[in-house]
Amino acid sequence: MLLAGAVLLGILLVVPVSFPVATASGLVLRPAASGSGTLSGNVTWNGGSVARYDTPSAALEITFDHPIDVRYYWNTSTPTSPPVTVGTARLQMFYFGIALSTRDVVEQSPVPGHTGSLDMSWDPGVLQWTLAGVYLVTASLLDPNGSTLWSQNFWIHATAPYGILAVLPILLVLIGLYELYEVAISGRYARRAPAPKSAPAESPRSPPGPSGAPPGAAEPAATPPAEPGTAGGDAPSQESP
Amino acid sequence: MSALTHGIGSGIALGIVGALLAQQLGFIELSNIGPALIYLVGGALLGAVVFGAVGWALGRRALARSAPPPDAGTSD
Repeated sequence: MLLAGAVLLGILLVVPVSFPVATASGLVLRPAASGSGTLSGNVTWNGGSVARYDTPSAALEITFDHPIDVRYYWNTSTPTSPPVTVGTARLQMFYFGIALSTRDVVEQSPVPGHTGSLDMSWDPGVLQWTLAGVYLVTASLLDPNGSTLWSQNFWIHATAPYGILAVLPILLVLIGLYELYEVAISGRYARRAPAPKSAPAESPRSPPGPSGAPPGAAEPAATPPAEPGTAGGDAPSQESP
Repeated sequence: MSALTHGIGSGIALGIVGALLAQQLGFIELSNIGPALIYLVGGALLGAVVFGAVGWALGRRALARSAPPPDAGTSD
């Protein structure tokens, strides 16, 4: 029971809750596909391009203790390409395939063009206490109809303040180790049952056995009273004639 | 509950917690559902096997310690 409770508590506390920051567009079970033929873009996170953080091992190390400025730059692939209309910039964070956080910046009056930029400022707020770990983040640009024009995946490694969440798994690990420790020491409590020993000094006063003594019970009467430690299992049958 | 089931239960919990802890520390990522399930189930299975074996061995040792003595003094 303790173990099941520990597992449930750990899952509830460690798994971050889905928490849409802004306009959520429902659960997205798969990250958006990257790339678009007519639009190319770039995303900066607090001034640095995120293009190099394209693998989990090269995740962007961040802390959520201050507001984040995400800027989207986009332009058409060639000057002769038709102008595009970017209506929304979106930032999504994924966990177990679910969009843990979705934040949108909507262009109020989108106009077709060959280049442009959108600025998104994000203050994670209380999320900084719940998010820790490596996450896939998808930055995407959408047209006014909601179709994805361009997207880019990158990885972030968020550290919670004071590593508060890392304490909980460690606590659960300790609980599990304590369970094994209990198993290890359980043998000490399962000692052998004490063998029935005779009470030599009290044998005359001890409750007599059955009134009908066995026929061979008179023979040991010639021997002195049993000494401690030498009595076998037949000590209670000793009676003086 | 036997020592074996104690070990299996502890191992499952430790495997899952270990996977989540590894994600928090940045060793693995659980963003996509497929790899995340593989990590969690794999961790649970690995923990169950390893700690089940540990629990079984500890249970055997406990049984050996608490076994009744051989019938040495009843020879007649």
